[in-house]
Amino acid sequence: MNIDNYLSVRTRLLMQHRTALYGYIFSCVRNHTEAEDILHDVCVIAIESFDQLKNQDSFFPWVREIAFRQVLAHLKNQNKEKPFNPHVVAALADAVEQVEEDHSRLNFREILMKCLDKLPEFSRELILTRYNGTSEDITGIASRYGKSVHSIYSRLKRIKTLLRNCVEKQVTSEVSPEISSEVRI
Amino acid sequence: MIQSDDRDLLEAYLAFELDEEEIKALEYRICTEEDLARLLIQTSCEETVIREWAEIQKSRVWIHKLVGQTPARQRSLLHRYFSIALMLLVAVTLGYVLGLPHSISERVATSRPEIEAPLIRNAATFKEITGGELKSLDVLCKVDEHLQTRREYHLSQGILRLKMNSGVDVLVAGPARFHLLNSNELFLSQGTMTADVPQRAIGFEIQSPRMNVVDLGTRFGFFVDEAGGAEVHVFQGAVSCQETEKTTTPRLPQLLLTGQASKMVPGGDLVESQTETDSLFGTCLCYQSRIKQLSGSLKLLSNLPESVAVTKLTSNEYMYVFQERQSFILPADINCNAPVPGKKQDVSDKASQSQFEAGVIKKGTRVDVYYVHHDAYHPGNPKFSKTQTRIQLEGQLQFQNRILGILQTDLLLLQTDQILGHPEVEYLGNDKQQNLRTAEDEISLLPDMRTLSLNWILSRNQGHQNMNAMRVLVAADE
Repeated sequence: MNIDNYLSVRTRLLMQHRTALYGYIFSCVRNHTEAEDILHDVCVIAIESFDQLKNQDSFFPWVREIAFRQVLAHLKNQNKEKPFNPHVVAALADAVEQVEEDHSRLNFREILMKCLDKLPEFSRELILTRYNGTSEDITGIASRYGKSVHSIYSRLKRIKTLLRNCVEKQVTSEVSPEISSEVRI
Repeated sequence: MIQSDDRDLLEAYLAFELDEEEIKALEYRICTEEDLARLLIQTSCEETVIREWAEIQKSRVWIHKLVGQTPARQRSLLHRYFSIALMLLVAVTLGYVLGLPHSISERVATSRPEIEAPLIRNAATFKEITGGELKSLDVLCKVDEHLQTRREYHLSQGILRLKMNSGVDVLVAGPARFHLLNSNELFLSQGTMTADVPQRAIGFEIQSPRMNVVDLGTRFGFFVDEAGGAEVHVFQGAVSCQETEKTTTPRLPQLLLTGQASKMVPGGDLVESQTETDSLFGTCLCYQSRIKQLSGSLKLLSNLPESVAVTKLTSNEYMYVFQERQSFILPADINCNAPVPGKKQDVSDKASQSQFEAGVIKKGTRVDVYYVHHDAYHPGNPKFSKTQTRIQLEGQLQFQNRILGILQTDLLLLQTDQILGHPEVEYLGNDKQQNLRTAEDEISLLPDMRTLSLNWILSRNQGHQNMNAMRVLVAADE
């Protein structure tokens, strides 16, 4: 195998599982900046020790172990006095493997992206405002739209429910071709 | 099982919108409910994809502003986005090959806080000791003294109680050597420990040379032998245990639940332990239950029985004892058989109930409550023997404090099951099981007023389904 192929395998595998890896890390640390740092470290370690991986089919369990160790080390170093629950980290490590198996099979990420593309204009704008990477909180968004905080929360919740329904419909339609393959919100 | 508002709860958890108690309760559920853990990951993955989508939309707007939008460009943009993402990842990879990650790793390593500065801090309080001395560097420690980090403590014999500053109640049986790492973490080099961990101290950790145990809200025992071999037994709740030594193939922590035990074997594997809990932790468990001594066929249960209804907890060898309540303030007057002051056991008087007479323990009295139970194997049980239809068991039960009263009859037990019984124990399966609990065989009180001597007999002749049971109330304020 030449060096280009060698690198592309690593890249492809990391790209393929990045959502689940990030989802796992974020569930454990609940902070996007920290989750991004940890994911970065995990990628570096995975690339560094890729030779140790004997079977590419077991890439995700292997890289998940790396993530598990990194998360534990991070939480432990973060605050020695503050008790944290390492078994949550372990329980989520078990859970992410099952979730990723389903998501990979169902092409979850791509389907959700398509559903997001189909959002009505206001819902789309609201999601973009909420996830635009700034520190504006719900109160700020509510004030910008002249609505109550509660109504913004409700609207976001409803959008997410619609997205989940959309994903579900799309998955069902892929399983049962007789159902329209059009993504609907 | 997933509940209707669990998704909201998980989103609030991810957004740090829950208070400490809610977090602990939810984390306990995440550890014990697989579907809830999966739902949290799903929720988090959804958030991740939405964030990624929002980023792409932002880039799309930015690129459109720069180059304008044409149908051909629009078609090629998606391809470009993925190409850019791919190139970035390849760049990281190449950067690694060229040595950049080493500097990145160094940055990561140096940006993280180093292990705390080795300051000496108070981490626990030495509450009590029996039968031994606690020393640090040959200096005797006194009761109520603060125990500090970075000092090794040595208990040659006896048993002591520590209160960690986090609230964990720890019993240590000698010989033992340990040091405190912080207010919720200690290192046991050798010895036997039991820990009773309140909600607020979940995450309490005991380290040892080969195995670490992290509490998930529980009571558990931990034993380390001279060679560093370790063993953990869970009395109630759950713990997570893991080998201390770093291996090339890291293993996930092992979750142990009530009644489970695990030990480290040579090679670093954690295997189920067959060691009797009593043999390792009997001393601590008795002390914790304020029982001074058990002998004969009496056995203290390390974890609460699910049920003491007929056929649920049977043995032809043991009379089981467990503590139902500790330092419990009676919410009502309790009718009982109270010991008669000054009345000693009369060897000629086989009806030793004369040592007790009908009495009342007043509302507001602080008591420890114990349940003594014997139900022999019934026909149908694989261990039932047709030739052993008369089972006689004897034993002595010595409490730390004075006995205030005993409840022997089914009626007295029934009246107090709700008030004095442990809420998690089933006492009677159904109404038909009434009038089956009696303990009218020999029960005598020794002169110290703290010791009961039992000689209980059960018949398993055809039709006999009865069992022996007794509730004992002991003074807690002494």
